[in-house]
Order: sequence, then C-alpha cells, then structure tokens
Amino acid sequence: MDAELSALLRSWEWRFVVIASVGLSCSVYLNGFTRIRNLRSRSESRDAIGLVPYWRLLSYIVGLLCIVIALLSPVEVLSGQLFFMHMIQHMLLVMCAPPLLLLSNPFPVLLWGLPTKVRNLVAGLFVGKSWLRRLLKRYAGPGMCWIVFVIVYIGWHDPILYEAALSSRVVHDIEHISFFLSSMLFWWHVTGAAPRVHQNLVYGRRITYLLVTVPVNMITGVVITFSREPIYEYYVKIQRPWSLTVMQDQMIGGIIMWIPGSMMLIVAIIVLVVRMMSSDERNSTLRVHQI
Amino acid sequence: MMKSIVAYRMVNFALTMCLLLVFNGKVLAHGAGDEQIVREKSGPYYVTVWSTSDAGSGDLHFTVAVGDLQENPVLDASVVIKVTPFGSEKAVITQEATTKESANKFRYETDFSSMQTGIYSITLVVSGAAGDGSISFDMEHSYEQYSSSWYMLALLSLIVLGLFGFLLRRKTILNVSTIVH
Repeated sequence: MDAELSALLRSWEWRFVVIASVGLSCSVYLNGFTRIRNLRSRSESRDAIGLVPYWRLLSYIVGLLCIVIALLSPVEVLSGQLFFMHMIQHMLLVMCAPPLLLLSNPFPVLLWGLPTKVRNLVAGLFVGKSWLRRLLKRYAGPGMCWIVFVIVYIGWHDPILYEAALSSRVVHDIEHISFFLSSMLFWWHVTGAAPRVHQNLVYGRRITYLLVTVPVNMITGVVITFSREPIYEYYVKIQRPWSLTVMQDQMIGGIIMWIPGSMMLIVAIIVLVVRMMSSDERNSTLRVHQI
Repeated sequence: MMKSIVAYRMVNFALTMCLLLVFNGKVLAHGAGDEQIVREKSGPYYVTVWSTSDAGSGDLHFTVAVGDLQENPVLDASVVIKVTPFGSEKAVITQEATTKESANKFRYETDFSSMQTGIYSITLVVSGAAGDGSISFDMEHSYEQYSSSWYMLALLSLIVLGLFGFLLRRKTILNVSTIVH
C-alpha cells in the first residue's frame, strides 16, 4: 500500500469526550427504543407503532457514525493539514449527522431511555410554561434558526475565524459545537422532530426553507472553488500528501462544500416534494371516499 | 425573580460547556501546539516544530512535520530531539520522535517527562534516505498560561454540582407521554 495512504488510514484520534458522548447517547437511545417497543407489545398501543420503527434506530446509529467519522477518524486528524478534509468534516457535522439524528425523532426515545427521575427532570424543561420551552418558542422559530445557521455557516469560513479555529483546539471545538447545534436547529424545522414547540411547518414552507438555503451553501462553495489565491494562509505553510498544491486542495474543498453540500439539501427537497404529493393524494382519496 | 433564575441557568449552561472544553484541552494534549519553527530548511528537508507544555505533569511535548524539498511529507525519517537547559550544556536530554505514538501519522511526536520550566536550546537531527539535516532553536518551557485552567476547572465543577443540586430539588412529576409527540 502507498505509504501516504497507509499513514492516512492509521491516523485516528481517540478523544475521550467524543467517545463518551457518542457511547452514552447510543446506549440511552437503545434503552429507550427497547423500552418503548416492549411497552408497545404489552399494551398493543397503536400510538407507539409509528414512534419507533427500526429505520429510526438505523438513522440514529448512522447519524452517530457520521459524528464519529467527523471527530475521531483521519478526517479530523488531517483537517489541520488538508483543507478538503476539513470541508468533509464540516459537511458531516452540518449536512449529514443532524438530519439523520433528527429523522430518528430522538427526543422521546432518549427520554424513555433515561432513569425516571432524570426523565422527569429533563421533560420538565420542555412542557407547560417552562423557561426552556418559552425560550425555544420565542427565539428558535424557523426564521431565527435559518439566520443563525447561515451566520454560523458563513461566519466560520471567514479567514480570520477559520485561522483562529486552526490554531487553537478550544476555538476549533467551539466551531464544531456551533456548527452542530445551529444545524440541529435548522434541520429541526425541516424534519419536524420532537419536541414540537412550534407548529410544524407545512411541506410547502419546509421546501421553501431548504430552497433558500441552497444558494447560501452554493455561493460559499463556489467562491472557495474559484478563488485565484489561497484564502487561508495556514494551509500555505503546511506540507500536504500526494503532492497536492495549496490551490488544488482549496479547489477540492470548495467543490465538496458546493456539490455534496447542496446535494444533501436537494435530496431533502425531493423527499419533501414526494411526501407532499403522497399526502395530497391521500387527502383527495379520502375526500372521494367521503363523497 | 423568574428572569434571574433563567439567567442563572443560562450562565450555568455556558459554564458547563466551558468545562467540557477545558476537559478537552487537557485530554487532548496531542494537538500540534505552539509553533516553534515553520518550514525551516534543515539539510534536504523542510521542518516544522510545535511544542506543548503540560501543567499537570510538566511534560514538554514536541510534534514535528518533515517534508522533502518538493514539499512532500517524509514518513520514514529518524527524528532525534536534543533538549539542553539554558546555561547547563552538560544536562542534555535526547529522545527520538516517532510516528508510532502520534495520532497524525504524517507527524513525529515525543514527550519529555517532568521538565523544569525555563529556557531550553533545542536541536533537531533528521536522518533519512535523502541525507541528514539538523536545526537548532531556543524556546521557553512555561505552563503558567495552562495552570490557571486547573483553578478554573475546580471552580466550574463546584458551579456545575451546585446546578445539579438546584435542579434535583425540583420534584416535578410529569406525564412524559404528553410530550412524546
């Protein structure tokens, strides 16, 4: 095997905080999943049937895998050496992990996976007139989440902030946390996952919400791809494998951000269009039956 | 009253996040660290050296990137680091930096254990298929900037424990099924 490829594949960093967080959330989800399914078989309640089908479990696990790949694998280790690796990492944290995790509707399942006392404590933060619910209702509406997402997404690609993230581990971690949290808020309104603090957006609005995000991602990617000089000075002084020049590396990174990044949004739009059409079809069939 | 409780909880949340980050910094001391020399020519190689001072153990950690003159990484070189305390030239400590212990296998790393703080003269000798090269520089091994994080850690732990105590006192009995959908 090529020595550089071998070095790349062996570059893993076992970060305790990441392993512990992913392991804990996975075990809590599995516990909740099992408890809800057992509850269903005992009571044969139809309410729980739609809550935890196996595809949701799969979606959650793949979402966590995206986080593992982004934060522990060579993608993380080499993100300070190769710009395009850093862009893959951002795509995983922004465009892959959040929608997959939210598609699994994690909130109720995680709640059921917690011990009763903790469950009541956490659930208490989201019901009635709790401070967190009011805070989310007031400041985490679709418009605000979109603005926060766009500011965070574009903001961290500003050369000054980007260089700060590369030269400080703490700033780099803040960058990743802010990417992940802002994306979770953004995708929350697209997927309509619990906790449902706001009224769910109708399909048309969800599609518009995604459509207006496509140009944001695309423009950022295009600007990086077609830049005539290195945008981030940090990468100029770093040695890169496979004789990649700084401009080639930057161009590949820009393309990753532009095409696969936009593709995730477009796939979500297609899924929503299909669901909107099938729900329209169901409604019209129902009306025909009623007539 | 309500507003002050909300503010109190928000501050606690922010501090908890800081706590996680502080933990991150300590656990993950194998980051590249402070740049000591950047792309300096050393014989037939370009060398970049980063260092990290660990307040807890007093360890001085070095990360070295070696590249050939065409800027390709050199992965099979022998990298020896000699650390000499300023003013006592006889107390030289020599260690080899390797890719075995490093997370990033494109870089050579080594730890000098329990080093006294102070100024050191560092000499790096790189040997490989292309030939040998050496380079020297002076640096300060100081961890004052890091030691304050331990006090911060203790303070934050107390605040977080206080937060948990405060939250656990609230005995809210809730029907969870009302919010699952």
